[in-house]
Amino acid sequence: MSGNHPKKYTYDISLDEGVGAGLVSWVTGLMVFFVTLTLALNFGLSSLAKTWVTGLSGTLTVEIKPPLPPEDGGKISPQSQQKFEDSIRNVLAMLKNNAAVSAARQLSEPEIKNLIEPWLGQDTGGSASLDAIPLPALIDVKLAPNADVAKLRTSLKIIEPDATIDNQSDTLNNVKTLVNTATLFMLLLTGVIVGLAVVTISGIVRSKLLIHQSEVETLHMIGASDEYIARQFRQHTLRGTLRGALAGLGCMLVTLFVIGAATHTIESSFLPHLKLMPLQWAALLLLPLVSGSIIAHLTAQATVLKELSRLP
Amino acid sequence: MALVRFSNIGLRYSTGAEVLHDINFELEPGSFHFLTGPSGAGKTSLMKLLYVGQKPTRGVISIFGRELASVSRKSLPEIRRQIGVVFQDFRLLNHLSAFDNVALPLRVSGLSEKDVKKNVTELLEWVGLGEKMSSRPPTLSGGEQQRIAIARAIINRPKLLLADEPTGNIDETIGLKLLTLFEELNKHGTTVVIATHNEAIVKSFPHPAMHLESGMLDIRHKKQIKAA
Repeated sequence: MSGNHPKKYTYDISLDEGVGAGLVSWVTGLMVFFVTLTLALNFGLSSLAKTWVTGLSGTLTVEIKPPLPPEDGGKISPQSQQKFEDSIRNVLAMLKNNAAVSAARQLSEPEIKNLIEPWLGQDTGGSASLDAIPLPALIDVKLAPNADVAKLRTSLKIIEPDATIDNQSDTLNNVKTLVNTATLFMLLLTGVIVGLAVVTISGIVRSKLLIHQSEVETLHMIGASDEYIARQFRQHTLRGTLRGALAGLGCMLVTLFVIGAATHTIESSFLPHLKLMPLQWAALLLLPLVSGSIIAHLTAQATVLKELSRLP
Repeated sequence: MALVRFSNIGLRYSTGAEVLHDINFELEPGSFHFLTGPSGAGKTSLMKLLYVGQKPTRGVISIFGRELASVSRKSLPEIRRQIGVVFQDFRLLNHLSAFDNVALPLRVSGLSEKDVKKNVTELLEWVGLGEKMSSRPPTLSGGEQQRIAIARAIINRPKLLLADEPTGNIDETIGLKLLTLFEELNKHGTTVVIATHNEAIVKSFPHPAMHLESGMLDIRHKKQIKAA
């Protein structure tokens, strides 16, 4: 058979055989799955927060309190109702003529009911009907660029001392704190996942060195350098890593699709539609894959070189 | 200059007793020595020291003119590549073909695949295994496995060839043929050391023997061997 071409070898050490040959793929697959999930949640949350912040910045809401019914359960007097309507008219007129305001619009009653519905439930028309609740007047104000809100607030207080202005600063601060906390938590979670993966891959590589000790020693004795032997483990780990990472990424994409489909069916005025930018998609697809591969690669290299240094 | 020099070498494993005591010898380039002694005398330990598979507990080993204690770890593979070893249990890699087993020393030396193919094919044909290049060791007979082990040991044209009990698993006729092959290699300049407990084989060849007994080494020349 001298003319036959011997089959090209893959590794000098039989790394594809023995217990735990596919463990690296599983570990990397899980690592990539969870890191991608964390990253996707982070991107989603940032995107959501951005939508909220954009919606809330440059606007404010003026609230004029409604007249309250008498304590004996009687009806609101026509005079009180007239005073309430006059206040609304006066405030709107002032706002429309103020240089700090680019647009001012009173919200309709259905719009106000829509806003409070998530807290009070749907209007069923029964005894708990929203009609029974005195609703304030809400005026949605879009501010002009570089508007002086303090001056506007003073002008408003002169006309209607009981009116309140909500420029959403508390809400914006809360959203920012929430996003920052979530980002920190996700970074920590990613760190824990990566740390666990490093420890596990290092353990798997050490076990493999033990399983294939005789082959490693033979290579060592015939003059293979540590780097030559480490390369075999590195390449094998990298191959397993890529296989696992692609599988993890695939599972993650399916999960994201399912989450996306599920959130579309949720009727909620809290959650605007989540949409990732192309750069975020690229990062989501490539970052865990590339970083997972690099981490596994370097872990295998460092572990093998450390263990080999014990040989003479 | 001696190819190998051992000066006051002692070896102990872990905290156990010393298995080799005050070993002193020199191997000249192109020499042929047997290493004899009863089982447990320390032959394998001495062979390990010779193929740089073990560090001595004390003493100085110099191989190819370099004191091993002062050689960096990175440079040791370069020294090992000039030493061919036929292990007693062959130590073939069972998942690789005969071709890939013999090719290993060339590949670790970084030779091109073209040269690897040429050299390995030639050598396997020379040892009579040209037809079994793609076979894996478990499918070959003991004699065939031994020839692969020998081919792997000599493919790099080593300066020093070590064989640990190479005739242990084969009959006497094949054993003598094998030793004749080692003599041929020796005639081409390779220094040879063969560890064996077979005194009959030692007496059949005109080469000196390094005799190990209870960890002590005694070099016997032909006349002494015959007298013994």
